[in-house]
Order: sequence, then C-alpha cells, then structure tokens
Amino acid sequence: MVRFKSRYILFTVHYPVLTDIDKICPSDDNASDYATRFQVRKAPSLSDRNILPGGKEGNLGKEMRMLLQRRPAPDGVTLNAVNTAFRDALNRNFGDLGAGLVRASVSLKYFSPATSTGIIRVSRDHYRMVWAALTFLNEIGGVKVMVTVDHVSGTMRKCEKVAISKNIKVVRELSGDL
Amino acid sequence: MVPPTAGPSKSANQPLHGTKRPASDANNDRDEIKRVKMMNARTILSQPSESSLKQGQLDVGAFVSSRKYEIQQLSDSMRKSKAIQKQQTFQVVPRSLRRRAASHHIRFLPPRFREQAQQEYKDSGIQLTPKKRRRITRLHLRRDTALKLKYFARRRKAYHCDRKRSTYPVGINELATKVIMERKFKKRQKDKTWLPTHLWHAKRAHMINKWGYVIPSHPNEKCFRPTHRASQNGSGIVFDTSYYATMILQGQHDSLHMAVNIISRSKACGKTYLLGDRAFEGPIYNDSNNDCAIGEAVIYFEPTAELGDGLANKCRRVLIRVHPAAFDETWKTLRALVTETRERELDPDPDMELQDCRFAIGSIDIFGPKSLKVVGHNLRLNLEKDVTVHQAWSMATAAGDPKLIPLGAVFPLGFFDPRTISTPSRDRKVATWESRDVSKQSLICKSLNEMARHLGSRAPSPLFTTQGRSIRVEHAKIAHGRLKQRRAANSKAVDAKKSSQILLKKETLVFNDDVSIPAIMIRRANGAISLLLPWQWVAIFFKKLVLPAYTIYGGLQQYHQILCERMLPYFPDDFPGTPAGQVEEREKMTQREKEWKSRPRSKKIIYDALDLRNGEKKGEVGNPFACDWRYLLEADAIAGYYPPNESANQQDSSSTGSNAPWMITDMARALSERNKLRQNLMAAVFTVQIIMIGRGAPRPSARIYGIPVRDRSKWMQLKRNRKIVPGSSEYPVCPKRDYLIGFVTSGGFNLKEGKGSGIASLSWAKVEQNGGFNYRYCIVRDVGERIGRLALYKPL
Repeated sequence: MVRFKSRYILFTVHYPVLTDIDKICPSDDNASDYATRFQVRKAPSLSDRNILPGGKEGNLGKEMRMLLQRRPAPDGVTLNAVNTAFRDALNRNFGDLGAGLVRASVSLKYFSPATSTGIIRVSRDHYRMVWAALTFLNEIGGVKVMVTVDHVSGTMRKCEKVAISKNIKVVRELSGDL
Repeated sequence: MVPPTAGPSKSANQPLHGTKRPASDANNDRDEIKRVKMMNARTILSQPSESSLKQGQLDVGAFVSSRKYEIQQLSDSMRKSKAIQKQQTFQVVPRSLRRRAASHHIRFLPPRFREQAQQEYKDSGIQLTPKKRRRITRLHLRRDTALKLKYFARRRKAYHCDRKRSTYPVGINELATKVIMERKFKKRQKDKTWLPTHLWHAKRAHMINKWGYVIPSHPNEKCFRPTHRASQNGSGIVFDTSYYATMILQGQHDSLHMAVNIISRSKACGKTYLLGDRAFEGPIYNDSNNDCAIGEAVIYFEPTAELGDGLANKCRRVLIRVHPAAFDETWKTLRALVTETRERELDPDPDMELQDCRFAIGSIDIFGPKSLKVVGHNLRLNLEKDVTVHQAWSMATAAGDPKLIPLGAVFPLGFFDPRTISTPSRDRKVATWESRDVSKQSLICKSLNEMARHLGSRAPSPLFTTQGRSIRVEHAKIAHGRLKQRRAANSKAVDAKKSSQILLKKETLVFNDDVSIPAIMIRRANGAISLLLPWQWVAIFFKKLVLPAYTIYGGLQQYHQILCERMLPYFPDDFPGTPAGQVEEREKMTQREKEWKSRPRSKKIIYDALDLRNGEKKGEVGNPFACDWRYLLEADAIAGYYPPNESANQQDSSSTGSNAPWMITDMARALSERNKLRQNLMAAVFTVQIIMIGRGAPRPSARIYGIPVRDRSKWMQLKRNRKIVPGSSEYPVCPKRDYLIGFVTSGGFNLKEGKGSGIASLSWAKVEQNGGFNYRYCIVRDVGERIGRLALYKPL
C-alpha cells in the first residue's frame, strides 16, 4: 500500500500596518529591566508606521523591530479567521479545482494568536499550492497581513522543533541582552 | 489515517484552545474516551493574544512569556503524540530481548512487560499458549517427591558444612582436571570445557569449540556497529575470558625471579613488576636459544611490601596468564624450569611448584569508555575500614574509561556478592563524563595511583591461594534473601539518620556473614580491564555486569573486531611467527579450502584463472586460502643466504624447519643488531599496522607488495589525483610476485578510522630487499582480486 505522505507548513503572520499598538511598555514587574530600551519616542506614534524591513520606520531599535515583527495577533485574527481566510485564498487563486483538490487533506493544525505562528498540514502533492495561497493572503478578519513560511517538513515534529528554536532565539535575545 | 479536519472551534474568549471533555454517553463510553484522549494528545494548546496585548500596549514581559508558553506547549505536544502512538508491547521491547515465541507466550517477555502484554493479548484475541500442565502419574509423583526431599536436604545448614568442595581443583605440578559446569549436561562436556557462563551465552550467541573450550563466537544478532559503538562511545562490552589459562608459580623469590627472567627475556623483572605494583604484559619465549616467542602473557607478581635483601628466600607467587592456544608450550617450558630448579645442585628450591589454575580462576574482560562506571555501579567493594580506598575507587569508577588507568595497573579488590547488593535502576543510563577534561584526568590518575599504592601495600590478594578462592556461592534464593535483609536495614538506617546530616551510603553496611569475594582487576594493554575471579563466581558477576546500562556482550569475533579497530594484534591470528599462530593459520586454511571446494564452479572465484596483467602467468600468488609463509620465505633470493640443513626441530616439516616464520618482538633491537643476526633474520617476520590510503579494506590473507622503485611515482599520483580509479587506464598494475613482502593477518573496514585497516606481518628479509624500512608505502591486494590498493604500513 502506498503511504499517505503529507507536508507540514510552519508559517508566521506579520502585520505590516500597525493599527492598534501605540506603545511598547515593559510589564509592571520588571519595570526597571526593559524600561530604558523600550522607551517610546516622542516621534510619530507607532501605529502610523510600516515596521517591516524596507519600510520607513524611523528610529526603531533592533529589539523593537523584532518585537513588532513577531507581535501577537490583533483582534480579529483568530484560529477560525485564519482558517477561513486561507481557504478563501485557495479558492480565489486556484479556483474550485484547486480548492477541491486540496480540501480533504488540508487542515490548520495549530495557530496561536499570542505568537501569530501556525502549522498547516497538506498532502505532499499539493503543498506548493497551499504555500502559494498563503503568500497571496492579504487580509485576515479585516486586518492587513503578510504570511511567511518558516519551514516545511514531512513530520509535525520537525515543524514544532523549528518553532521552538525560533522562540528560544527570540527569548534569548530579548532577555539575554540585559 | 485521516486526521481530524479542523482545529477545535472555540471562541476567542475562552482561555485555552484545545481541550475537550468527553461526552457522557454511556453506550460508547470507552471509545469516546479513547477518541478524546487521542484528540487531546494531538492538539496543541495556545494562548490568545489578550495576554500580551492590552489596550494598545505591547507588554514585553508578557510577550516573552507567551513565547515560552508556546515552547512548552509544542514540546508537550511532541511528547504526547509520541506516547499516544505507543504500539504493542512487543514493539517496545528492546531488540536484543525480543523473542519469537513471545508473540504467543507471555513467559518469553521480560517481566516488566508481562502485565501490559497480558491485557493487549487479551484485547487482540491472540491464542496464548497455556502453561504446561504436568501429568500426574505415580512415577511423576515419586520423582517430584524425591526432588523435593533433595531440595530440603540441601537447605539444611548441616549439609553445607559437610560439603567439602567449595572451590575448583588446581593441578600442582601437573595439569588440572577440568571442571564440569552443569552436572545435568555432563555428557556434552566430555571432550570440551564449558565456560562458567556457558548456559547464558548459549542462548544468545553462536558457540564454537576452540582450544578445548566452548567459547561464544558471535552474538545471535548482527553487531558489527553496536560493538564499535559500545567499545568507543558507550557503556561497554563484556566478554567471558575464562578460557585464558592461568598458572601460579610458587617458590622462593630468587628462583621465581630467575624463571620469569628466562621466559620473558628479563623484561618482566623490573622493580615495579617485582613489587607487584604493575602487571607485565608482553611476549614470552620458550627456553631454547632462538628468539621465537610463544605468545603474549600477563605476568603478575604477588604484591609485597618492599624489595630488600631478606627477600631472596621468601616464599612468593607469580600469576601467569596465557592464551589457551599458547598454553601447552608455556606449560612445558615452565614445568621444565620447575623441575630444573627443584633438582639443581646449586641452591635448589625443593618447594617450587607450578599450579595449573585454569579451572580455578576465571575472568571477565570489559572494554568501553564507561565500563569502569558500570563496574562501580554494579559491584560494591567490601572494605571494613579503608575509607581512602573507597574514595579512590569511587573516583576511579567515576572516570569510567579504563584507558585512564595506568597501563598494567593491578587492583586486588574484594567484592560483595553482587546479588546481595541493591541493583541499580534498570533504565539508568550511565551519564556522560567528559573524558577530555584534562584536569580531571590528572586527578583520576593521581587517585588511582593512590589507590594502587594503598591496596598494593596491603596483604596480597586471596585469589592467589586455594583457601582464598574458596568462597562458596550461595543458592540464589538465599542471596536474594540477603538482598531484602540489606534493603530493610538500609531503610531503617536511613530513617534513623534522617535527623542528622549524614546519610549512610548503601554500600557501607556490612553484615557479619557477608563474604568478600577476592578479585584482581588488571588494566590491559589493549585498553580493557580484566577482572580475575574465582571460577564459581564468574557467572554471577558477568550477569550483573551485562544486564544494566546498555552493556553488551560479545564473542571471539567481537574481541577480534575491537582489537582490529584499535590497530592492535589479536592472538593468535596476528602472530604467525608463533607456533600457536601457525596452527591457527592452518586451521583457517583447511576451513576456507573446504568451503571453496563445496561451492559450485559458477559461484566462486577460480584462482587459477586470475590474471594480474603484470606480465606474469595466471594464477594466485601462493596458496589462495592462506597467508602462504612458505611461499614467501622459500624464494630463491633468500635461500641463497640461508645455510642448508640448519633447523631446530624437524618433526613437522610443514611448519617448523628452516622456513618457519618467527616473530620479531623487539623491532628496535632487530634493526640495530641486524648484521649480527643476519642468518636468523631470514625467516623473521614482524608485525605492522596497515592503513589504506583511499578506498578498499584489506581482508585476511591479502597479499602485500612493496612498490618497485620505478612505479613509485605512479602510485603516488593516486594520492594526489582522486579521479584515477581502478578501472581507468592510468591505474598502476599490481607489482610482480618478487615484490611480495607479507600478508595481512586481520583486516577490514575500521569504523574508528573511517577507512580500511588491518594488522599484517611482513618478512624482514623481503622488506630489506625491497626498499628498506623507511619507505612505508605498500600495495595491498586481496586474494582473488586483480586490483592492488595503496596503503601505509607502520611497525608495531
């Protein structure tokens, strides 16, 4: 019997336009630690900027940029919203045929609004189509988004491992720099 | 299996996505629970974004913690999904414990899996083989009663006191009578000797009959790589080497000194050896004048406090251990020496005697970087007072690697019965100890020296005497009873001491009737530890060392493989210059020839048709089934030098006589005195290590050629230009048979080096002819192969 092979796609959702974050503040507990670094400039508020690389962000430090690039999802970007959005994208970009080919095997295995990371499972034959659909995804639940794919692998484990290692890197940089 | 389509749909306000409670449906309760369990295992929990995003503020602390949470959840998910996938017990059982019969017979699974398996087998409806019921007839009843009476009789204490023999026989000045291990199988041991661990090995390894012993040849499973891993990186590999012949020479110090002097050509008589601090390991020779070595031996003097003047007439003992293939010769030599010493006119030593302890002292060899650790875990020292030794021992065993112990170091130790000591947890993997830490290494070395000195200055090991060895092995049930007793006492002691800071270590509890089993631990030249024990205790210690912590066992082939990987010669295969080596070679030759003859013509290499394309006639060089030393040493060029009719023994013309190779054991001396020894060196042979340059692995009896001067540049080109491959036209042709200089005695692919390697023996005269000892390149060509491959040799 031929085995059913699948691909797991690890993706991150980015929000190029900040609409709801006005400032980055340290939590109350560790007030002293983060304070100096993340002081909000007097310059134009964050929400008006395009914080992605290449955009004109002004005087954002490296850590700020990192934070904002991997920020938690704004309201409206939930698991369900993501689910519907990318199926829509499939339909819009690849038509009924595309959506139909893929429907049985595609599923959103994991999505965390707190970290905007998710894992999609697709059958091996059509993962490029799904990848493309993700690329074309513009908007989720009314919020402008951009999706990048971090890792594709044959097992869920590897995607999880990569997600973990990315998180560790972020945590280490933010807290290890102190 | 098709996965569930979408993640669970819950509104964003609920704190945690992913969990689900089982529906309380009475009918499909069990299936529902299973399904939910599966779903829970497969879903990953996630946090909503509210936690870090509040009213337009990105809380950095919360951001970091949400990342950490995700890490946690992903790891959990990985673990859960692995656990939920757990298949049948049968698949979880480690490979080496799997038995075919376990699929229908629970008894064949390891005890810890049986309960689980019971349930699974019931579920899957497998027809289990029921327990055998004994037929109850009158005859059977009578037999059973008789057995029970015997058993009860044995348990009586009086029975134990009456029994005379608690150790195994030793032959004094004569060969020992061999030991029969299991009385039940007496008939099978008529013409061979079983090792103490025979029954254990017979179930797990393929056994062969060699040198009068039945020795495991290789384990039943494939273990080329596991052996390499165990001896290089892992917990270790254990061998039962009780087939090594042990002899004890007893007499006055001076006469012993002289005897050892003779057989080892005075190499074993250094001060450290005489003191008993270190064991000598090296070649031993027979009594006659030629330099022919018999084999390798370990010589260990019984420790004494100091070497002084008063020592000359003191009674001392020397332990000599030889490979069984070399035993006959060694025994003859030593016996002759003993008779001579007893009866000589000048200062005779009438009390000198030679004890044959082949069946009284057995041994276990352990290789591996963590092997000392395994020893330390599973065997406990019985020391009444000496805390320093105890510390030094823990230090040594913490090190783990026998290579850290100084070469030839000997530790006379006394162990508890390992069955009465709390066994360590089965799953405990021996922790990695960074052996590259230099400071730690020196610490270990120092402490081991300390320990050696301490122990060495005490009384010599009881293993030397029959009395010392006669520690009776108790019945397993009694030993188990002791174990329980010890555990109870331990917990009591621990409770009692709970108030105070100091907690007793388990091993320091000594009971009155605890026995101390004498053992000698020697660090060998090949990087192993030899643990010498009384014969009756070998099986018990062996089982305790093999069981836990992933130590594996091996047979002769594995021993050979380990030595090959370390580029050390293996007796007797790699010693063609000794009588034992020649016998071995002959046996191998007959074996190979027989196998070759039995194969059909289309499925074997026809050696007569081998065309080397170097201008010579067709056919293999020499006898294709062996390392043809006669062919090599009979060549005309040498015969010219060699005066005719000069030979020591002419009994067996095929092996001895003028063309028998003899082994040079001291290269340096041979090199410097070569002019003096010219005549003798004609048939001399020396051992080298061979490393291939590039591809190919030498096999035993491969031919080795020196490189003719005019071809040297061609062969050297191979080194530079990888593209010159044996098929191409630029690949140089194999040298002619005049350039044959030796044969490979063991070889193969060396996992340690990452390329082919081997041990070979080269003819002294031939090497001299073909370029001298400084040009170390050579060509190695397997028997039946047309292609020669470039290699380097290095004398040992």
